[in-house]
Amino acid sequence: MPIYDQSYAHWDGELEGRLLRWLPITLNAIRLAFRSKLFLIVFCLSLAPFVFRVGMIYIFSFAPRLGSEPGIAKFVQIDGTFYCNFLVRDQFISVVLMCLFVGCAQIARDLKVRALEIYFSKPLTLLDYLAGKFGAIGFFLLCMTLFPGLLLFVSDFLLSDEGTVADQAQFIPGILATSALVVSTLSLVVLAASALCRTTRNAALVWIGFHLALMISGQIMAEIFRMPFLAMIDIRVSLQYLAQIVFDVERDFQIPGIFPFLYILLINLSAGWVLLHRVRKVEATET
Amino acid sequence: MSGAHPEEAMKHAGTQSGLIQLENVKVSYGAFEALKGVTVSMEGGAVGLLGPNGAGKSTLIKAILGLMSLSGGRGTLLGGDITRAGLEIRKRVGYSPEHDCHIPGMNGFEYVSYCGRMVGMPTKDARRRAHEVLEYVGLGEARYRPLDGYSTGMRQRAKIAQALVHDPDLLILDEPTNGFDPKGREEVLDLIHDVSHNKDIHLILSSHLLKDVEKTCDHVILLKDGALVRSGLISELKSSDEKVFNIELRGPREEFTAAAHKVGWRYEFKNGRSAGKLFVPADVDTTAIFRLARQVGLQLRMLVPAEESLEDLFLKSLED
Repeated sequence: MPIYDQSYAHWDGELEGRLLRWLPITLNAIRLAFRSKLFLIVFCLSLAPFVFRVGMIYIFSFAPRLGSEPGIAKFVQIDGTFYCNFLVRDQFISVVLMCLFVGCAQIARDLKVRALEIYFSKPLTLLDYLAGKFGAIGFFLLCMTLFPGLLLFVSDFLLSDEGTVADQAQFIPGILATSALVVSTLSLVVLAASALCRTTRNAALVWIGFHLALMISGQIMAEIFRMPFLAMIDIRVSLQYLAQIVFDVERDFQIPGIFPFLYILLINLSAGWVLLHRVRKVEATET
Repeated sequence: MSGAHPEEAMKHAGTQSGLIQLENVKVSYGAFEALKGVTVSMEGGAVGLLGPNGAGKSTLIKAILGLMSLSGGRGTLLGGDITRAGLEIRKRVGYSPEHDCHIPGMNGFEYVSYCGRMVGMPTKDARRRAHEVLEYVGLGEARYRPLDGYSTGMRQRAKIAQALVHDPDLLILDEPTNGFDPKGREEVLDLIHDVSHNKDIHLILSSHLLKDVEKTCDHVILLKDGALVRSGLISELKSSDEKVFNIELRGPREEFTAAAHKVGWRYEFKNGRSAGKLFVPADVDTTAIFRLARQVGLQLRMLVPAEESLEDLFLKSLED
């Protein structure tokens, strides 16, 4: 039987508005990521530091005397320093794993199979496409920063007898701001690395190489010039310093926060420029 | 869902403003001018886009989809300005690219419904519609198989399905029969013909296979080196100012070829064969052909009027 005999019917439904046109791209990328068993394992392991912290809070809520021991108290005390370290330092390996397993593939894979032709033949702008990809990696980074941060806050709020609601709520803006900084910066950088390559592996190598180069050059320059703050060339160190300012805790360096902020802004803008330049050049100009 | 009612379909297709109107459209890649002032107008129907490699076919497709900035000229597709209304145009167009550009990790159903979602279809409609179009293109049984495991022909069908999922007014297919076996190719050509002639969906078919265009299209746009060579109804172009004869000669063909060339005719023969095609002006009768053969001392063993094929038209246009 000829295949065209199986009939074709017109569709007379309404197309949805274009405000959330990026959302299917994000949802699809999330769904595809969770389909991999290896990624599921990595994702669960990445949440281990968070689970460990919650467990500690829970245990010491029943044994407050044990928690007040000097060595342990520092470990389980929930304050600005705790959130600052948790979001930028403790969860950083998890963030790196998410970037490697999800972020590096986002655009590189589309470039490899020329999927951009499919995307841009739809009523999508370049920004829709990039927003969709950003949404996907952003979601996973939020899973490693904001969501655990807020859950820790809730756990502490429910289990701890210390402090008032107002005392504890002061950490929420800090958690939000620090998560936003970490997620936006690392998402844009990993997407830029992904846009520069046609394979996930190469994108991962570019991304790791970029971070290592900044980290090593920061440490070398700090030693050579005897200026410790030059270590902030490393993105993670800059983010941590900004988080220390946001949470108003003891700082690693004594320079105005505007400098690391401008540096991070520059990194973000550069990554954005790479994305616009690379994706546009491969495919077509946006109208 | 609704059936293909002609009135609704016409409104659906939006033919009032024509399918495509281009005025002196130019597109440049740096210093290289890929389209050199293309002016063409088509009211609708099935249009074949023909031209050798590098003629500018793909560039023209991207330009009319509103994906490229024009370096000159202006144009409309389905009534939308191609320089300003790219998004609106692409809502009404289904495009199947030449290259194998599936999205890894998805099966056929997910791929097609995902494409529907990207156009803006509600999730439920996109999913239902994906089932329907996959059935229509012959992938009903394979819809849940991973795209990575599809044959080349199946991927071509999946690309056509994703282009049809939102029920476009215009279907643009770039080399849609690449990678098909003969049977599959015939099936897809039948499908393309059905879509463009029975379902009130306009078609632009870019192909280097002239027979594909001849089988599925009524109009043709012929490009060469970024410029328009010819455009119009294939039937009109073929019945133009020339007659074609299948002829068979006995004797040295080169002399006949030279003599024909001298009087402004064109004789093409296939290697190793005595038969060939003779193109003469419309006012030349068969007597003149016999006379020319006698002049060069050849025996004319067959002289049969032939219909000019699209291939003849194509080759002639490229020579012009």
